[in-house]
Amino acid sequence: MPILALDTALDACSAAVLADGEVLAGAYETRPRGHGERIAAMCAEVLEEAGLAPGDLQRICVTVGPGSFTGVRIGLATARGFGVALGRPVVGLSTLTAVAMPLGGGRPLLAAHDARRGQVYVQAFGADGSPSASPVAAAPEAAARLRRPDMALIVGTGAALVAAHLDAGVEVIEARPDARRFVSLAEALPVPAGAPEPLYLRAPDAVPRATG
Amino acid sequence: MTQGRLCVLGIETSCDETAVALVDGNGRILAERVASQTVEHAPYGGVVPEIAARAHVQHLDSLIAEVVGEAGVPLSDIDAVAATAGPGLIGGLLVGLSTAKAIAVALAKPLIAVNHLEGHALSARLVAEAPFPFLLLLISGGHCQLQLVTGVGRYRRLGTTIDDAAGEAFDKTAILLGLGYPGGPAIERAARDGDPTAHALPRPMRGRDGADFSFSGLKTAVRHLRERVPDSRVEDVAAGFQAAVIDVLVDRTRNALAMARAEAPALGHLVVAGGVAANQAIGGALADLAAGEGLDLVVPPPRLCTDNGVMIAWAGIERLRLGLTDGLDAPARARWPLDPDATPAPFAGIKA
Repeated sequence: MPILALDTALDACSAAVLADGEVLAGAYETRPRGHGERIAAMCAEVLEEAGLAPGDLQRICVTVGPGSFTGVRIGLATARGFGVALGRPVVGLSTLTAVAMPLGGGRPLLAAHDARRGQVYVQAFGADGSPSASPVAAAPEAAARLRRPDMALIVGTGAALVAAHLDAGVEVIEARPDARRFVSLAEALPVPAGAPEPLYLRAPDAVPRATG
Repeated sequence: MTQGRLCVLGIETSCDETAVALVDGNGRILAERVASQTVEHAPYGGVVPEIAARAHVQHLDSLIAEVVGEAGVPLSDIDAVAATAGPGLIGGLLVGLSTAKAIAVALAKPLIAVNHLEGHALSARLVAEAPFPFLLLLISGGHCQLQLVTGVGRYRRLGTTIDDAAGEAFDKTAILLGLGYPGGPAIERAARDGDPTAHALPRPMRGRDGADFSFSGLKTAVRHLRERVPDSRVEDVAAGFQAAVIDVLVDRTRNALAMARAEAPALGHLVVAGGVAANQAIGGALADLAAGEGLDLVVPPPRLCTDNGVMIAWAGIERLRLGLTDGLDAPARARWPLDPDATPAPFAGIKA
């Protein structure tokens, strides 16, 4: 089942063509901004390298957040654009699951991404890779308190921010989502009833106009 | 493939409308959708960029599916996909442009990154004969400018606002008068029952050289008038304000016409576009001006003057015919003047 996987949610940009547990082609670039000027071409490049036509794709897999609001939307708009053009389902993947699953190696862990403004997006995962709580936006010290004694690993772009509030025995892996590592996830995810929605974890910055 | 059978998908997400349309080379609208976000933004008294961007990404793909379904044209049969790339709110622009790029890759079709203002400018050619060169008066909530249009992608700015856009002046004045939002239709309605000569209001920039606009002083004058004469009739003030705007628009357009004719003597059409072009009193005054100057006036119908996907699809068709397609690295641009050589107006922000 050929799958196009992509991510633009944090400060990197990646795309990969996956099929039957293998990466046929993939590309990854660190990129703090300008995702919208790169991701579509990157998708075209990995498709060509994989030797597949877009119509061969059976599903699209995209990170839905949490991350930069703009980055999340660029990825989702791109994936949903492929979905509507090809008539194929789009499956969404959290950016926290996207680093927890490939890096956990069967260990329970905390996944945390830098959310700016003094916060991280954080979520706890069990040894089987399934989340043991919902993701939240929290200050790093509050995020550190989510760590259970059996967790010896923190992964994500916010891992060091959280680890600063923990004892030195915790292993820290600074990692961003990478579409080339979505293989097993992208195939296993159930197809949602509708298109996947962004996972923002924060309300827009806007104050209703005072009345009266 | 004949030109008439060209078919382009247009996507517009630059402000608070998510809009999609399929248009063919004969200007036939095969299907269109406009999803307005007015309700979402109402509690904030204006468009909130982040709320707008969230709504665009939530609705855009299903609107595309609806348009394609209604048109009965498979997406794989279109000739190109066009999306607004600017100017506008960057979060929304990125949603529309990213979606368009993905469709272009998926179906191996050309991408056209459309300037929203060019969409307004060329929409006249969808509904009427408007050969180049023509004079364009673009009056909307975000813009107020006069352009000499000599071809697709060829603009010379003759005048622009140095402060508020025309639609912005209507909205702010409507709030001062307690007429609600959006202000344009509310002021036009109130003005019908008012006496435009009941109060003296200024005509900023009238009689000056050039074709620039200024509306903030007029809005201030309305506020002072209401403070000085608290029992003034809202209808009279609305009528006086609208008459002042009309006098300024006519004066500035007349000057711009002289400037345009000096460069393009063959000029035969005046095109008025943008949301404020739906105002009947303004349209009437400009029709008189055009008649007096021996010009044909083209004002697209109101649904093409407010933000829509049809004009973006049509601009896509015009550009596709000239081979003006864009790469997958085309950027979304919050600022994107039609005339890149024009000096930015000092206080006008993206309105220039």
